[in-house]
Amino acid sequence: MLDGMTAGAFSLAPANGTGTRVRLRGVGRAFGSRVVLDDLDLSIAPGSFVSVVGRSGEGKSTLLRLLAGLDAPDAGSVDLDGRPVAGIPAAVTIMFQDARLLPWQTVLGNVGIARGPLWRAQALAALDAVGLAERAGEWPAVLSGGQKQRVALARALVRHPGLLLLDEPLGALDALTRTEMQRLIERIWRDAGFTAVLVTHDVAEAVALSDRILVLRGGKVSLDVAVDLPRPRPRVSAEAAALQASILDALLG
Amino acid sequence: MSLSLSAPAIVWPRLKMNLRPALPWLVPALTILLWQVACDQGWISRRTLPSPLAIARAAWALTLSGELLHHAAISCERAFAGFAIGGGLGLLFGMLNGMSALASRLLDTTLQMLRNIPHLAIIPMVILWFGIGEPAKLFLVAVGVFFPIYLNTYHGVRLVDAGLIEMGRVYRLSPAAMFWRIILPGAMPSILLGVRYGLGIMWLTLIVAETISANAGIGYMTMNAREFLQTDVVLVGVLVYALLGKLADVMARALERWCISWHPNFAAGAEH
Repeated sequence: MLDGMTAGAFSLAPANGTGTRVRLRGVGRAFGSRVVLDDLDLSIAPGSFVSVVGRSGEGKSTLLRLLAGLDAPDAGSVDLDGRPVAGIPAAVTIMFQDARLLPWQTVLGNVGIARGPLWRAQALAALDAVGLAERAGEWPAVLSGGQKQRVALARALVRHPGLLLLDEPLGALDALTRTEMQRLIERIWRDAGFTAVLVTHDVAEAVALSDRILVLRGGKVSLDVAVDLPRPRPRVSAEAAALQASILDALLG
Repeated sequence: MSLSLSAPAIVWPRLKMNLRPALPWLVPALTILLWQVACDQGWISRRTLPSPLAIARAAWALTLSGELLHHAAISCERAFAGFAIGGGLGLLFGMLNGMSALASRLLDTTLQMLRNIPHLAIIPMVILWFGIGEPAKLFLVAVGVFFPIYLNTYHGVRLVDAGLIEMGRVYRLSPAAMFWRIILPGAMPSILLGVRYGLGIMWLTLIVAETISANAGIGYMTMNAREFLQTDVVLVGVLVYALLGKLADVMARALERWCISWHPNFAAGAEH
């Protein structure tokens, strides 16, 4: 079953060694007359963890879809490692709000969705990294919401992404599971070194995880703050609370 | 007061426990018994309705002579050949129209119009086109089966979760992998529903088609028996149709269980 490979040989590192560098120049995207992104310039350093916060309909998900190659900009360019996005980039993967597991595949079959050589061993190793190796043979229907998202994370890791996009993947989870998942994502991100872009409504989540927080408003970045707190971060600290307050002000004001 | 209320509550479960497996068979058994008595007493003429025992004897005689098996085999062959042709085409067009917007625009309206023609209404034309031989029977069964399978496949494919298809794109699945791993299994519950509808129509059509003209098959056997007023043989034919229909349904259920064992509704069964 392991195809001669052990779980220990699995590396979380991006396929091409380092996280992806992201660069957007003058990006615009409108749906009908509604402008969602307007002349947006943004660059994200390789290996960093960036959160994008904003109200509903401010283009956070659209931004992620552009990076994932699921949508194309009306104006400007989206470059990953200096190359414009065309089609679905191999180095990028995305975790959706819902886990989007195939109910007719086992957990292992879902994680190894792209198949390829040694997929069983790789999928099992990725499941091990998220702590679900013993559930490999089960149907997704029997898993809890948090477990489903962990399977989705394992599926993303098998790809050895240079850029992991997280489209509010923890939004539907209860508070405890959510904190647990945040810690797991942070640990895996630190081990692997990919670039991560998280879209979230939850300012506390953004502060807990990110190196940098962007507030999107009116199709532009209205606030861009570096989060200079040591890792691993305590769940509660005065600095984090102050930062949260200032970002909330920017969102609400 | 409370005692007299609780007493039947204790007795009833016991009664149910003993009778429960037999309960659904009580009414049919009594009906057959009454029927047999009515025939024995001469209340019903043998020409109107033969007795259950006479039917059983006829079935036994036809089985021993090998006639029954021969006719049943020919009927099954026609039914399943027609089903394979009609069902295969229904599956093909359902898939095509479900996955291609162009094909759907081009073909779906036409197929939806044709669907409203009762296929048995075109028997006179079918006889003119194909004569009264095997092709006419296969054609009728195929047409009858085509529509339920086409419609259910088409809707099944259309209703596959768009989020899963998008996930497949993100993981850069090839078109073949997308079809086999996402679209086909996603549409499978609906396709199997179409298969079960199709099987019902298959037998119905075959019964009618075999009465047109045939020199073998259960329909031929019953029509022939009618000529000689062998009402017992006619009823054996009817029972065989019922049995074959039930058999087809059991097969469809087995297929369902096997194909969608992942489904939460089947999870309890899968654990056994």
